[in-house]
Amino acid sequence: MILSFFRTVIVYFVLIATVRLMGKRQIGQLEASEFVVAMLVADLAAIPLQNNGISLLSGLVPILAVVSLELLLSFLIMKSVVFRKFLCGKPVILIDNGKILTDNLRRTRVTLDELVGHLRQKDVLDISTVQYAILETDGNLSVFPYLQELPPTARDTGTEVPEQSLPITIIADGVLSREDLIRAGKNEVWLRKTLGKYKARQDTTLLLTVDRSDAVTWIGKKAGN
Amino acid sequence: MDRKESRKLNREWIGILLLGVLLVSGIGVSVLTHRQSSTLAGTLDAAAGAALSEDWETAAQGYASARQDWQKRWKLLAVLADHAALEEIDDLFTQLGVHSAARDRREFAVICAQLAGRIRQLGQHQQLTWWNLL
Repeated sequence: MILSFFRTVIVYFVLIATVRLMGKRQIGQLEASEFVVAMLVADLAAIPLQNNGISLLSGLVPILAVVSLELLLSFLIMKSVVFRKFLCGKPVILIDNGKILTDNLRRTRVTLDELVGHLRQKDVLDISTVQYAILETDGNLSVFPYLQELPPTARDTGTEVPEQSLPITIIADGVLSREDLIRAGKNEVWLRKTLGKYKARQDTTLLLTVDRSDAVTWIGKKAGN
Repeated sequence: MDRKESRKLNREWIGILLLGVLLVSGIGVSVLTHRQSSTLAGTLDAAAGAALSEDWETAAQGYASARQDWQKRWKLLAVLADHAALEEIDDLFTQLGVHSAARDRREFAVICAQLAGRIRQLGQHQQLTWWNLL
């Protein structure tokens, strides 16, 4: 039991060091420690399940050790900048004021093709339109084009736009949510009237939503409404 | 301090508590299994010696006491150790019973020594040593 505990502690830190060594591009959307926890817990849980001869504790002790280490580390990451830098690394600037920093590309082992691929995923076709590109600690690329390359906003053009509000789903797949009906400030009378407008019933409605400006969206269950 | 932060702090304490419990219970189990396996192996060594000097009464008593001790501790060990090793020891105890009944001095002593070795190994496997760790 104590061996399982210490072995897990060793393996946990070795894996974190390995993942940090692999660099951001291998991680995807998880931080190094989260990636290690996901990897370890899945494997550890499988060991006692696959072999009845192995006691359940020998699988549970390492899982509990990993989880408690993760809780501690996430606290330390939150509290200590040094620890955060050590475990998560720092964001790396790949394009600075339009200039591609080849040293940083080499350091993070991102090729130019991969950088261009990442930019395409962010709907950027022309690399010369990018002012800043930053490789974040979770492996994602943040892209900031030059301001003159951005489409004008309503504020820029002085256009009046309707207020945006989140639609509230009143009926989903024929099921009425009374809670959401009240939240939207509506009642059964409004619901009957609205459904009547579409010549529909609750059970023939696939989706009914309403937003703060009273804009209603209705979709019937049958194709083509 | 807002609620979110206090929840994070609580989790941190849960982490510390969990690590503490695992550490203390792990060390406890390690010490306990080492002590119990040493006692059991000692009893079996004594039984083997008694059998070789043809003191069957002491040898049979030693065997019976060791078997009783083993059965008492079996459940705790089954929770911690690999079941294959425990089954091997169970088999050796069964063989020892046969040799004890047959008063087969040499075989009895050999099985006793094998059993003592296996039980010591079981205790050693739970010990916190650098060679076990690595």
